[in-house]
Amino acid sequence: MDGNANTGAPQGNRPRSGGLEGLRGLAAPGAPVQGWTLLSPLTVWADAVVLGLVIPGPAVVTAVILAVAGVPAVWPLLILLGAAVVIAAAVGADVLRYRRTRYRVTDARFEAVSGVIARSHKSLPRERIRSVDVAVPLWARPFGLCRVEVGTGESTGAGGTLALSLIPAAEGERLRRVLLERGAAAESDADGTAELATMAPRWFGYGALAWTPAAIGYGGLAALLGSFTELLLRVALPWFLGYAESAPVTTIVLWAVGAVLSLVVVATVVALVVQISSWWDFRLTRETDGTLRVQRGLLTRTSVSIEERRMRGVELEERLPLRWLGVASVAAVASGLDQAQDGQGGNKGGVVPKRALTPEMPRARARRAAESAVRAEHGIAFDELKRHPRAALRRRAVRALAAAVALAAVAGVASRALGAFTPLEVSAEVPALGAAAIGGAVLVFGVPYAVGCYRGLGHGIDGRFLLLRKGMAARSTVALKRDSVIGWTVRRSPFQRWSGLATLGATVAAGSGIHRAPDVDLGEGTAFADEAVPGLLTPFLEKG
Amino acid sequence: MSTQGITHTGGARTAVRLRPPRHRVAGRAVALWTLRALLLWGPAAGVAAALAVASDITGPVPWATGPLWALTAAVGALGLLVVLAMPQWRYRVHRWEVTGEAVYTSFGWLWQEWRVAPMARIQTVDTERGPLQRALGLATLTVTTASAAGPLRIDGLDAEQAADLAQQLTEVTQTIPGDGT
Repeated sequence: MDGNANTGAPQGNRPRSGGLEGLRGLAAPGAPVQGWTLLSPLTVWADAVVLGLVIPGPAVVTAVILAVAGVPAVWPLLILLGAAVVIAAAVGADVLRYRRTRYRVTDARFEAVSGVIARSHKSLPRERIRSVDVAVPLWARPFGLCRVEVGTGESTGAGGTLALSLIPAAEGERLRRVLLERGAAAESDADGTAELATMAPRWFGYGALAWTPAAIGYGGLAALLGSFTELLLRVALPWFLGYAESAPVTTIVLWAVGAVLSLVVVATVVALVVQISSWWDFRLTRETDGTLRVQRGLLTRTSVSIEERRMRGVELEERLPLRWLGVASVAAVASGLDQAQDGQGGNKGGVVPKRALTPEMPRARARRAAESAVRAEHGIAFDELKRHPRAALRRRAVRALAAAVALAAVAGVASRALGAFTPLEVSAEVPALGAAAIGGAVLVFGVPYAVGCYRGLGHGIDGRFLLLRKGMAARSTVALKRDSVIGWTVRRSPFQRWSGLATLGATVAAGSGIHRAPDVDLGEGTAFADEAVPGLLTPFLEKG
Repeated sequence: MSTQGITHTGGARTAVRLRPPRHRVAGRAVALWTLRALLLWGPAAGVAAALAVASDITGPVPWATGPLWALTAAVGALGLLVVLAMPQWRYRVHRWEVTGEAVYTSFGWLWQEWRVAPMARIQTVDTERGPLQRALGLATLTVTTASAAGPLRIDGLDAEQAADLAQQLTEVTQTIPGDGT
């Protein structure tokens, strides 16, 4: 059982005598001894190039500035010397790291020994390896190197992941194949690889409206403007006000529109750059070793492999505003890609989560990619889902109404309090007007949102799959393999009991662990769960 | 309340009903939940009352005393309601059942939940006893599956029964091959 998974493995960070003794008699570095392999010697050069690009620049600039400013010549020289020492020390450490890191693949395990002072011996049982991700950072590309991260998909415990940085690209590819191969399909070539989806250039355009790239674009712009607040307020604003005094109204309006437009253009360009660098030359393939493989990226080329055996289903994600344009993306529902792990490798500094199978693309294409990812030859009926009872709509409408009333009350009380406790003159009708305005505004947005939420709800069964859909701004339709559902939950709030509804949850060994269908009719939902996973609920059912 | 289990109000075409699990937890669980509620609400009301008294004696804000007493009364009343109603209510809801194929539990009071997990997917079985539970001879049985979502938990079982049940579940799950995913 999984709970005891690591008992056989040596504890991480604690050197195991056997492993170390085996290493002590090593001959020249680079020579594989007893099946142990070193990192690529070029890794030192690659890292040195990065250091050489990063450190001397600022050091030289500082030295020049100091020299020009008339500081005694000792100081600029000391700075240059310091930079050289830092580089030398870092390169030296890297050489040591290179010489003292080695790994090997045995019949049962994948092992690595690393650490200059504190030695660490990590060992992953091969049958537990769930993912081998190969990334090619920009600086490693000229050297033909790559970084490999091997994961077991276990969220806790020692030795969840093991990273090798850097090894030759061909060796990375070999490791990926060897470690993910299960049985027969060993060492075979890339022939027989099936391409499930590739990138079309105009899809990069969706990056302008996709959530993460757009957030980076506008967020970056906001941060930039924020750091120039002083300048804008002290210089630009007075200048503009002075200019605006004498200018005609149309000119001022044109200025404002121009300013907003240029901000939008800058943010959009940033978003597009993010999207392009994330998804450049995207390919979703099915490999002969029984894995799905996502390759993508311009500066850092990334490859994520997901064992098909671990695929519990697929998720079609549609986010506003792109949903209105008929755009969707696909994500995997698979164990070993847990969202809970996002911090430590879920998407590691990148903007694309590991579970992403495709970028934003036209819905029909996304659907086809999703279907082929789980080998649904006859397609999956993503669009023929059963609606939830009207009571679900009523609940959402009541929530919108309650929000409107609450915010209106807050607005009314706040404006009255302003009149009572501050010297501000608030005339008698302001509280009522303010409350009405706020309440009305909330309703104008809240009611369509409630209706959208309700229309987003749906569930159904199609062949091997169980489908659950929900969400308004981020609508998600998840298709779970019926045989991967490992339990049910039925949750009911007081109001749900009152209206005969329940929130049905299907638990799976992947991601957050549960996929919910909110507000199904209780009897219908129970029958649905019983039909989707025959036998599990049957002993607990009664003829009603 | 849900002593009758989940009844449905839907159409006649779906004439099935999820019945509640067969067994109740130990009757002493009522005492456990009462004590827990007292330990939470007692201090809360106490703090509010202390603030009110302090404000009465040396209040920097004269008008705060009245609202603080009102707060004390509100917390006290709500706490009393919870302490009196919740344990009985829970006792009617909290149920469990273990068959050859599955573990089935129900828990909660205002928000109620039913959980089913097949025997073949069980990964770990633990029992757990806090100080209050030890004093009352009770235990909590926790059954986890490969799903990262909440495990099945039976709160307020008789300690011996919990140990037997854990033993039985462990034996059954060990005979089933596979890693439970």
